Amino acid sequence: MARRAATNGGRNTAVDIVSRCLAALPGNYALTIGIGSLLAVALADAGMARVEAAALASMLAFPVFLIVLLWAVHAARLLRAWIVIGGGAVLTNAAAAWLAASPGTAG
Amino acid sequence: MSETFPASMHWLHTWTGVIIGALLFAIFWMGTLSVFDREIDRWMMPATRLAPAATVSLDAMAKTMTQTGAAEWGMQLPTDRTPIVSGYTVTDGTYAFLNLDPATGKPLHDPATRGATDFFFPFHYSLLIDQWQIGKWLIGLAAIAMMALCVSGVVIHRRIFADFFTLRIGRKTSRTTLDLHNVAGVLGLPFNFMIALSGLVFFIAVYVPGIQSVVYPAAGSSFTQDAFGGFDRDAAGEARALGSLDAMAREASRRWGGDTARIVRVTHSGDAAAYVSFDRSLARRVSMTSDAVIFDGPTGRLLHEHRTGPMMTTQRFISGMHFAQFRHWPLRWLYFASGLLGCVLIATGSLFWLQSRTKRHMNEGAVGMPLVRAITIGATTGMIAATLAYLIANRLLPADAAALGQSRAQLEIWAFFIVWIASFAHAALLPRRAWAVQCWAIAAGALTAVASNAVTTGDHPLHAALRGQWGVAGMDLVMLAGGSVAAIAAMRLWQRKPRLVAGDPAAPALPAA
Amino acid sequence: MATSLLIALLGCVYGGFALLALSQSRNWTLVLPGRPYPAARAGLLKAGGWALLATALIIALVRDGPAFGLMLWVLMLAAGAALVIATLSVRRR
Repeated sequence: MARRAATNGGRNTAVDIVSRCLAALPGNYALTIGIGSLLAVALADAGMARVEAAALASMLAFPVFLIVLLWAVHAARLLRAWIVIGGGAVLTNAAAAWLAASPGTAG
Repeated sequence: MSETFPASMHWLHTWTGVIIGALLFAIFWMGTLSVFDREIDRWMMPATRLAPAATVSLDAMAKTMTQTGAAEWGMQLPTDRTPIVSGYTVTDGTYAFLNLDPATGKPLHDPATRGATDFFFPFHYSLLIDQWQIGKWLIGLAAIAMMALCVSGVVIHRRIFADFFTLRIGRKTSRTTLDLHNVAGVLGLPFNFMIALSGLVFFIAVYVPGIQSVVYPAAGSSFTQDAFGGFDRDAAGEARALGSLDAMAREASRRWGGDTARIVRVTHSGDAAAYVSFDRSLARRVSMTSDAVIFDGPTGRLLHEHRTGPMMTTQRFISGMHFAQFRHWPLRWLYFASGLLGCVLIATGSLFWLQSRTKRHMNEGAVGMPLVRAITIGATTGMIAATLAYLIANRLLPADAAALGQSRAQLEIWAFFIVWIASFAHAALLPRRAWAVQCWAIAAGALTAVASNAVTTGDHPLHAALRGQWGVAGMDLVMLAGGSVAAIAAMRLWQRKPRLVAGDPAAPALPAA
Repeated sequence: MATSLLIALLGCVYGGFALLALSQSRNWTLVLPGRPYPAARAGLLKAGGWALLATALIIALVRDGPAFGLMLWVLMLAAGAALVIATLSVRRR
């Protein structure tokens, strides 16, 4: 895995580790809420009762959080982990808010 | 993080375990005790060791409850595990609790203890830290950690199938510890993953409220009300007597295909707009259903019936797998055994880390080692000793005990925390024999608890079993069995040559490796 | 009836895991030191083991229905495997 060795030099400084933990926990949480919200709004728009849509999206949030957590721990490049998690969190939350505010939403 | 996925998972497994192990043990231990919370309640509240009542008249109970004058009250009805009616009243937002004898409807004496259902159980899900729900969030973090530990543990286990049956108990301690950790982890994997996930799923409204609020933006409606049921109307301000609760209960039972009610709640008691809610029994199904029927108080007319859709029904089913409120004794014992196995898994994980690092860290002069050791000892054997101290205090404190402005129930909790803190201090100050001494303390504590129950109530295990108090007898027998295991462990540990441990002032300087 | 099914269930998971353990040569030599390990028929032991575990599932479902039955089966698997591991561990000493 020469690529990995080249990207982090095989070392993890304390700052790297703290940054990775922040991506894997609070960053991950924001992303998970974004994904869940987007799913809940989309399902409600598609005609599912909103209590049911919220329940399903909420339950799925935990496996999503776990998978993103494991990926964030292993991701080769810290920067890329932050771009995917941080960018994903902003995009999904914004999309969910936009969908929820747009007319025609079952809400 | 690392070059290969197993290496990353190894890093995750090690550090998650070290940081969260003590917390995880506390949660698992308290959860394991909560599997038999009602039985422990009977042990701790001798006045409630009643024979099951043949018939229970809700109207007779209602008479006692309305005499309290509270506008809002409720009762948990007897089950095969709880022979009493647990009532509560709410006056100006303050809860008061009273137990009733289901045969007569008369109040029982205040048990002056929080028992298991009001101490071990809330410890399990909130760590007794209610401020900003910090306790629940810490537990949520621990549950996620448990799932991450399960996955990473499977990834890094090199010979999961070849070593499936391998448990080498021998002279090499770290080998025994690792085998035990692997076996407990593999056998407990389905249970541990399920119990962590279902605990999170139960608290969706706490952990991921953001997902629900996006489809519930407006005030006046809420996810929790739609999901878990809820009915509300204002008081009329006009006095009117309550109709027959027994008639309402019969109607509710008819709607539920014969299931009985487990909880009855009365709101605006004595008012013309009073209403009565019945929650469906959990005895016959895995699901912790939130089915409820609400009647008009004075007339008994049906006002509202709560039923859940497929997704919330799924959520209730998963919650039910965690709470195990069903009537199924083999499963209850398997839950208890699985919980203990989880405790073994966590303890051996921490122990293996300590055993494999001690020497290296001592040579490097690392300071973290004695700290982790003391935390591990206090969190495992210390936690068990503290639990026994709580039980012993419950049996030995006089009925009217009070000290320093603390009630009897509070003094029991003080006993728990004093012993727990002392166990950490002991492990930090006298690390060489700490495991052995605390195992002796557990063995002695278990024996004392059983003896004090026999002396103060006359219900020694044989007597309790003969008069049908299986919960009390079982509790004593489990403590005797656990105490014996602790005594054997203590003897083995004592015979072993005390090993040098880091941070021990008595340890001579090691020659440089 | 419920009790006898429970005992049969435990017997099946214990027997099933015992056969699976015996299909591994080192467990075979541990339990039956005098007899050579039948490498050619290890597959038969394995199949027998899985068949008993499947039988256990059927017993659990018949006894308790799908929801309780599945939970009982999964947790009994762990109990049965633990008993086999304990047996082997005692034999080893």
